[in-house]
Order: sequence, then structure tokens, then C-alpha cells
Amino acid sequence: MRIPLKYNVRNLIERRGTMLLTIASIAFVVLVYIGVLSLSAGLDRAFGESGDPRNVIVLRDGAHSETESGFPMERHREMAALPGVEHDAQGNPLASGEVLILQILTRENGSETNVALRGVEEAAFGVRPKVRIVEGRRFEPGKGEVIVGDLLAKRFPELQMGREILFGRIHFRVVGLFDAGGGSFSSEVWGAVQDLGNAFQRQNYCSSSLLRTASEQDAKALVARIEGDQRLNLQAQVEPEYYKSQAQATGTQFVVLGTMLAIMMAFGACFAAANTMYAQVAARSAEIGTLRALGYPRRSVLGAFLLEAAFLGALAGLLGVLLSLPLNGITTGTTNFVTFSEITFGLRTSPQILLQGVLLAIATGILGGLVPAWSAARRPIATLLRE
Amino acid sequence: MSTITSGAAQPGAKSEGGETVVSVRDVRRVYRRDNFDIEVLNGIHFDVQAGDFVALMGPSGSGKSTLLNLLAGIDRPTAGRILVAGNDITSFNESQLAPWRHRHIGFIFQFYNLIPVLTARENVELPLKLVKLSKEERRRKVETALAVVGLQDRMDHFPRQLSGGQEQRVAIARAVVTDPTLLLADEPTGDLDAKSAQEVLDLLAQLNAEFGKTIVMVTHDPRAAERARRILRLDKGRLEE
Amino acid sequence: MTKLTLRNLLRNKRRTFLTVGSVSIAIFLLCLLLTMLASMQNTEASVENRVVVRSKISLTFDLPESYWERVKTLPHVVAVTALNWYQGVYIDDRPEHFFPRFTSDPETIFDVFPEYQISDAEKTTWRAERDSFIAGQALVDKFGWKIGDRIQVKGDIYPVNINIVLRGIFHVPGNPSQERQIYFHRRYLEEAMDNPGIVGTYWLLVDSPANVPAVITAAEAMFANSEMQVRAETEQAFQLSFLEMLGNVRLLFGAIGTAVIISIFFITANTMAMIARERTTEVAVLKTLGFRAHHVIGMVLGESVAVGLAGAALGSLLAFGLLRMTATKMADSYPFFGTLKLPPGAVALAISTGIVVGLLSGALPAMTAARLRIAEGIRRVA
Repeated sequence: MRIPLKYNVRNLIERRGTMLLTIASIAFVVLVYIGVLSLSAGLDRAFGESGDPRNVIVLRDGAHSETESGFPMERHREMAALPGVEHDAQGNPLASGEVLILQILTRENGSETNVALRGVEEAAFGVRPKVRIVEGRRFEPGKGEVIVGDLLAKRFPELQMGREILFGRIHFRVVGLFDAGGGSFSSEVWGAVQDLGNAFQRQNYCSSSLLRTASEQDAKALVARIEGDQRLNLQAQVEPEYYKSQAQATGTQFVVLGTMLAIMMAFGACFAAANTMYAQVAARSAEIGTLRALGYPRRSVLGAFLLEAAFLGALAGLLGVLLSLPLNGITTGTTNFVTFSEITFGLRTSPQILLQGVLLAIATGILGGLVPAWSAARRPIATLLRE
Repeated sequence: MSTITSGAAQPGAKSEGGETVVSVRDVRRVYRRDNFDIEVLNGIHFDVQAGDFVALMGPSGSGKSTLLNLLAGIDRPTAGRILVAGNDITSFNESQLAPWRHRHIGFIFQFYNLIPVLTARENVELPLKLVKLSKEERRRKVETALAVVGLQDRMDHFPRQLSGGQEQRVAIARAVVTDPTLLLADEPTGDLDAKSAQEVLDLLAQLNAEFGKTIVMVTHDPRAAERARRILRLDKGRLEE
Repeated sequence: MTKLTLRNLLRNKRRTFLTVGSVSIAIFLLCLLLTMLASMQNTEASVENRVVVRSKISLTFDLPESYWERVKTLPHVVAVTALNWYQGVYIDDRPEHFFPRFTSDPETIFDVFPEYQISDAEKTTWRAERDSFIAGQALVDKFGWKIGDRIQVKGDIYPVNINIVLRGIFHVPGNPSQERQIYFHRRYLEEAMDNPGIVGTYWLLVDSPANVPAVITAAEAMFANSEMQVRAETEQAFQLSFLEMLGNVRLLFGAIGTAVIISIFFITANTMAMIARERTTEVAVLKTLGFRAHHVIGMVLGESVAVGLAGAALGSLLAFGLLRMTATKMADSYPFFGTLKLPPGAVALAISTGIVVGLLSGALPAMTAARLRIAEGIRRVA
């Protein structure tokens, strides 16, 4: 009952010239859509990489982030001594009291933003096993040394290896670059907590307490214990949840706005597809009339043209995908709206995203081709043959 | 050859009389253009017997093609009844007409109406795709049909690679491949040169004489009409015999 | 010629409608993008002779109170006040409950913000009661507050909750977005925190805009060797710095805008190409009648420009309409939308885009039609 596929395919090839412009306009919509999704996926990954389910982060009660939080170092010592906190081979607790300070720095394109400087304890590397030095070496406490996240070093000229930079009232030297698996730490500068505390006159003070446990369940138990203790005036979360809320706050607006944009552009492209399909139907009305005169039912005519519209969309989708390939991996930065600090991330185009782009294109083609195909199927045969 | 012929007549027999294939009763066809009513057919009334070869003649605008379209179920009369192959097609809706048309009608157009992107063979195969046949059976029918019209050696050509006459012959092959009850031809030689026109008319005559196909042909060409057994004249929407 | 052009467009109404429709959607988007960009820059909101002084490190660091007296001595500085961003959570974290909450110095704030209009009686009451606050009219309307109402805000940056009573309502004529904030006493917060002297930012009123650069330089130099160095900038620059934090927003919007325009181009060119194909015979006939190449070009370009123009006009109208609607309906829950206005240049840009795209997309078909040889045209079947 179906009109042979080769009819559709050959027609598409024959008339490819007329389709080209429509394909191009749909392809651009796909490009924008893939761009938006890649942006959001990149952000998600950056945040997703940041959280380890075995870690617990402790902030002052009421604070939304480390930026808003602060408590005396003694509190952190108490946290470190809690049962459930893991210890390293030497018997030291895997707990890091960290102070987070924001300082304005200039990106390579000239714009300014807040960069996170994190004062950490020795145990920080044990608490975050994903962090590795990729160039140079770790900082030594008391020597005015810092290490810089690799993504940050790429975009901030002042933070290159070997450079000297003024933080607060002390000059520091960049002695190493580190890789944090693309997480938000890759957008930070790390130094010894005493050194950075000194530089900004926040001695014996920390923004957060980071605790490592033996397993996910242990982490949850530790959270419950800290939250349950009213005296402490502290709140605790498993690390991934902490970063998830930041991801949502920062990324959601991109996705919402971007998707709305893509959908509206898709409508515009739908109209173009409709125009093209109408022209196709008009040009081939004698053929259509003949097929129906031969006895092909209306639905097979409808199906044939919808199929062509879908093909049109699919080709456009592939073109859009091709155009979007250079986007993958482009690093850019924006402000984490919860911590108010810079987060550098790379756009990530995954196969799912590309597929979504192609599906959008196909849907656009089919939507645009719906009414023309319908008209082809329903016009009286005599009228079709007359044209 | 026997795969094409069936039913109505035996090869070689001259048939006339026997069953009535077409029965047109008091048919009117009125078109509405903007606010005007244009009456194209008024009170058409005639029969066609099995094995008949009827030519429908008349000046342009007399409604000949319209009448043909009505017989094929491609169009609907404003009033009256039409019975073809025993069915009252005026009471059919479109979803009933499509399969009926496929089974009973073979249509030949003035401008051939071959699908440009399909080869001759694929064009002839088109109607067969609507029924359940094995690939092998389809192939046989197609090749037989193309053999009858004398185009076996051009089966894999595209329409643009064929001459007008050849295209029309492919169209005829397509029209007969399903062995329809009725062949309808609308100005089949209208777009052809004299020689090709002859070939096509010879073919139609052969289909009628040898294979007993019932044919109704619209034409304004008297030489074409000569080849038919019966001539009906239409003028200003009315029939004279 | 125009009559012929118009009639031709109306010939295939559906095609014209579809093309104009898609162009208008794209132009609509363009207008929205321009509006977003303009609103973020919001140059109207800032007054030209105000300067903001803050910590050079970042906004998360406070300035010493001792700087106050020193800043007052800067030449050309007419008035000084201090503001501090309290933030906190009012009711819950939902966006409709968010509004700026500042601590301020009630004695000096109106010197630096003379555009805030408030009755003298309310001013006096507010100044007298340490646990009171003033709110802009727009905010009061939104929450249905009355003078004497108390509100509680849970602390986040500052680990103290506040409980304050409304004693005054101020208006900012011509700039309702400035009315969506509250100011309370800095002493109130300092007492609660047991921490005197919290100054987030100093705001200076300069005698004339011409002297602003000098004040900026002088302010930064004044504290160049102090414990806490400062950064001084105009109010506009201060507001723009928040936009900069988003990253290269201008580039992003520019890229999207370009993609949108390119899309329009392809869509219009598509239609023009279709039309051109259909018209070859007609063009040939016109030529036999004596029409010259430039007539034909004019006709084709006329059609494409007409389509571009119609789409641009429709798109800008839609954008204008939508923004009007959101401004009235949604400004309450999402104050940001209240500030959105179509920037004056946007419509002009939209119209010119429509014209230019129309010209470009009709160019090739126009040239082909102009060069068409009559015999070819008559012979060609579409």
C-alpha cells in the first residue's frame, strides 16, 4: 500500500537544489540548539565532577554557599574528630578546613570577574583524590606559594606558571597547575589555608569543613549527625547535592532561554519547510493525481510527503550537526551564581545532544510539511490532474 | 499472454453485446467558479457493452474529459448515477473508490503522466504494488505488459529518455498491467506526431480486438475516432449519437 | 511597477504569508535579544555623577568605617553615604520573594540619592527608629505592605535574622525598578552582629559629571597604600560589572543574533528562488513587451524587499506587544521583566535588517531574470 521509497528518495535527489536553502535555515536552528545544550551539558559536567558522594561539606547554618559561610577553625577541628571521618595511612583525619576568598581578576579577553581562592589544609588532596598536579608541584605552606586550576590558567594571563601575583596583602608565586577532572575546582587557585588567611586577615577562620568518609552511607550518616546537633549552628550536605543546587542555579537559565530560542527559530524554519513542501506538491500535482488515479489511497500520498519532509529535516539535522562540531570543547567561563565566583567549563557535545538536534530538525520538517502533505492527499484528483 | 486477458472475452473473438460495463443515467456536472455556475454536462445518458470501443468526440469545452473523469471515479457528478462494472460509483466515498478504481479502471492520459523519477519498468509496476504479489509475479506481469506494447528493450529507461510515442506506450502498459475491466483514454494521441499516433491507435485497436478490452476514448481527432467501433458526440454538455 | 509587485505577492497568498511569518518570527527574536542586552546595560537607571567605592579585592570584602571621613574630603565630592548588601531570605528562596535588601545610613542616604522621594514625616520616623525600614512603592504594592507592618528576614551572609518594621515608602519617578528594594539601619545589623563598622560600599555624589574621572583617580590614590585598597568606578560601570561576570554575554548574543539573521536570509532567499523559477516565462513575456532589465530587477527586488519589510514590521510589533504584556502581567513575580523595554534603536535595526536581507536574497534571482534571454524564457517549462 505504500508508495515505493525510491519515489521519495529519487525526488529528493532530483530537486535537491530547491531544498538546499530550506535545509540551511533548519540547520542553523539545529546549530543554536546544539550550542545551548552543549553549554548546559558542559556546566553540568563541571558541577557534576565537583562532588564526591563520600564527602561531606559543612557550612554555617543559613549560608547558601561557601562564599556566604564562615566559622572559627576550632569548629572544624571538632568536625574532624567526629566518628565516621576517614583517616589516612598516618592516622590523620581526612578533613580539610578551607577558607574561600573571592578576588577580582581579569580574563584574557579583558573582562573582569571574581575568582575563587581556596586556602586548604594538607589533607585536602586526600579528601579529593581526583585532583592531580599536571605541571610543577604542590605548594609548600608558609612559602607564599599557590597552585592554579588548569582551566583557569588557560583564561587568566595573571595566573600562568611561575607568575607572581598579589593576593590581599601578600605576594604569591604560582608553582604548579592542577587538574580536577573538569570540576569547579579547576577554576580555583589553591594555597595553604594559613597563608591565604593571613593575606586577607582571616586567620583561624574557615568557610567550610570538608570531611571524607568511607562510603556513601557513612557520608549520609555523618550528615544526619551534624544536622541533628542543634548546638553546632552548622549545616551539612553530601558534596554532590551541594554542587547540584549550584548547577541548577547557574545552568537552568541558559537551558530555559536557549531552548525557548531554539523552538522559536524552529517555528520560523517550519514556515520555510512548509513553503518548500507546498512548492513540491504544486510542481508534482500531475504525479500525485496519477498515483491517486491509479488507486493509491490518500494516506499513502500523505505518508510519502511526510516522509520527504522528514528526510528534508534529517538532512538539515546532519548539516547542523556538522556545523556544530567545532563547538565541542570550547572553553568559556561564567559566574556561578551561588558562590559568585568564576566557573570555567568546556562545551560538551555528546552523541545524545547531537541526536536531539537531528530530532528537532526532523520534527521541524514534518511539522512544516504536514499541511502541504495533507493538501496533496485531499485535493480532488481531477483538480490535481488539471494542473 | 493469458496472464493479461481474463474475464470478458477470449482472444480473437469479436465481442459486442454481452454484459453492460458502463451505465450512465441522467448525469449532470456543474462547476462553481467564483459566483458563476458553469454547467459542463447536462442529462448524459448512455451505455457501454463489454468489448466495446467507444470514441467520445466534441469541440473543446464540451465536457468530454469531464465525462471520462466521472467514469473513472476521479470526479463526482452533481446529479445522476453512474454504474461501472456493476458498481454504483456515485454512491462510493473516496476510500471505496480508490481500491475500486485500482481493480477496474486503466487510465491513459494525454500527457502520459509517467513518474519522471521512475524507469519504464518501475512505472508499469506501480499499480501492482497495491496488491499482494510476489516479486516474481510482479516482474512477469510487467514484462508481459511491456512486451505487448513492444518496449521490452527500453524497460530501464527513464521517461525523459523516451520519445513521446514510447512514453505513451509505457503509459498504456501501466494501464493494462492490472487487467482492468475498463480502459479510459483521454486524448491519447493529442501530444503525438502522426507516426507515433498511429502506433498508439494500432495498439489500442489490438487491445480491443485481440484481448477484448473495453475502451472509452476521448478525442477530437477524427482519424483516431475512425479506429473505434462507436462514436458518441458531445456538444455543449449534451450527447448526440 | 509597484502595483504589479503587490499583485504578484498576493497571487500566492499562502507562500507570502509563510515567508513573512518566518521572517517576522526571526525579527521578533532579534528584537527580544536586543531588549535583553539593553536592559542589562540599563544606562538609564544610573545617574551620571555618582561614584561607587569598594574593596579592590572583591565585593565580598568590607571597607573600614574610617574611610568615610577621608572620602568626604575629596575635592568635588558633595555627599557620601554607605550601603551594605544584607541579602538574607525573605519567606523562601523562590525568585518572587527576592528583592535587594540594604543596610544604609538614614542621615546621609538621601543626599546621595536625591531622586528618592519620600515624605519628611516618614523620613523622620525612619531615622528615629533603629529597627525600621523604608521600601519602594512598587515593592509595597507587590507584597501589600502597610506602614507599621513587620517583616522577618533570615540571615545567610550575615548569620543573624532581622525583624524590622515599615516606616516609610519612597518613590523613584521614571525608574520603578529602583523601587523594588528596601533600606534599613546599618546600626541595627552592627548591633545584632556585635560588630561595628560594616561598610560594603561607599557611594559618592560628585558636583558635576565632568569631575567624575578626577574623583575616581583621587579616591583610588587616597587608599593606595592603606590596609584595604579600593576600586572606584561610576555607578554605570559598577552595574555593568555584574553583566561582565556572566561571561562574554555580548559575544553570545551577537552570535545568536547572527545565526538568526542568517536563518532569515536563507528563508527569504528560498522563497525568492521559488518565485523566480515560476516566473521565467512571465519575465520573458514582459521583456517582449518592451520592459527593460532594470524594470525586471526592480520588480524582483521589490517583492523580496516587500517581504523583508513586512516581516520586520510584524516582528517588531509582536516584540513590542509581548514586552508590554509581560511588563504589566509578570513584573510582580519577576521584577526583571518590568524593566524590559524595546530599545529605541531596535526597531530601526529590525527594519533595516528586513530591507537588507530582502535585497540580498532577491539579488541573485533579480540578476538571473535581468539576463534572461526572451526565447529561453518562453521555451522553459517550470
